[in-house]
Amino acid sequence: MREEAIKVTNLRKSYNGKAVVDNLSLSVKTGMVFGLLGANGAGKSTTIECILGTKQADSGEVSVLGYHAKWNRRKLFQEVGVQFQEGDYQPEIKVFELCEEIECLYKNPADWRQLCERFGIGDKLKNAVKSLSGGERQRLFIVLALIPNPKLVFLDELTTGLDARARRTVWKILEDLKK
Amino acid sequence: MRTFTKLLKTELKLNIRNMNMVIFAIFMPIIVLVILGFIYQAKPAFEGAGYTFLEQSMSAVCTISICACGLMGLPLVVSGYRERKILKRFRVTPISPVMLLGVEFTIYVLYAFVSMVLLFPIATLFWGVTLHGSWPAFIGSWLLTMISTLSIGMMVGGIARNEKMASVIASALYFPMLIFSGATFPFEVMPGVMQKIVSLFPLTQGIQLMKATSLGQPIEHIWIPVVVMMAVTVICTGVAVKCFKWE
Repeated sequence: MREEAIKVTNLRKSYNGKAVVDNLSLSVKTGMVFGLLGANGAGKSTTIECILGTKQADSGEVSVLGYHAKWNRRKLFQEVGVQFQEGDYQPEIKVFELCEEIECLYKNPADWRQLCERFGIGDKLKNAVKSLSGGERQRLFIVLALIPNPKLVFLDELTTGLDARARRTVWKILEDLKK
Repeated sequence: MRTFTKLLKTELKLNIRNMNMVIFAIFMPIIVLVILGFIYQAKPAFEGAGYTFLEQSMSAVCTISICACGLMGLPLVVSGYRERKILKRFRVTPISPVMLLGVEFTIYVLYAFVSMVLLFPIATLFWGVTLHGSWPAFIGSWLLTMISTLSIGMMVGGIARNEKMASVIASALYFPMLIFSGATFPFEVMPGVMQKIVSLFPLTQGIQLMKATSLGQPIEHIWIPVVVMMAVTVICTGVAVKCFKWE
């Protein structure tokens, strides 16, 4: 019997009276890859944000790895990696600095040099993040989400901006990580 | 502790790379000191005074960097990080808001400290400035002034809606305090009414206290500046932590 990693029941969220997420229930078991598909503005990111507690749901229950994101924030995010759609970074920061800064927040961080290597940005460590191409930056943000050595990882718009080959590589790596 | 030092190292590097604070908190006070030094040299503060004009101005010059750090640097960094959604990214990590604010706070403490440590040797070397009072008393009053000013900045950065708003509030505090609290313009030459008004600024209290401790003058009612600055620190820090918003 697999444990439940994410459990959402009757989640509702509206902006200015307009319902974006209406009575959503879902359950994700450990070892599972769960894809949330939908048109632009369908409420995918809003759902993720309600699950992560960065947005307050109007009603409904959410539990992630058995934690409540709001009340057990610090415990939960030791074990969860997140990549946001609109990831931003300090203006002048370099790739290795951003990795170091994220690494030092966790108890058992992964080796980010190795991750960067696997995602094909191993030779860009000393570059400024803003000088990376769109695809490289996207891959860097996936690396950042994997630095915690997470039990669970949220990837919002995972392959946006990646070409077909890079897409396949990313999927392959994530598939391997799942094992 | 490991997290704190690592974050501090990276954030400090980024801050220095940005250069703003290096100019406003490190170079600007030195420039003001050099100008005052050339104008007043080793002249006494007034006829028959036991100390020079420059010695009297040292506390005010020291607060230029404190002002820049607390009323410009700190609020703008915190609100800028919020606006750029950097805080949002930190929100989905195990970091605590206190740690994050603590790191940024420490960076500006370091700037203010470096500034002071550079100013005194320069003043001593070229214009023979000495500290007539006691160093521990002076450092104590400097610490109090710095921490209270930085806590104001932390509160502004914590509660301002966006960077623009923070920048407006910061300027509204920075310029009057810098100009009227005695940091650029001696308190002694202001008319009585104005002295009363600017006495309400915590920075004015701080400068008066630093001046007295550095010149070794007796201080009447020492509790007034101390209480004012401590109250400001406690209230502002409390508000900053309590009302901290990631987004």
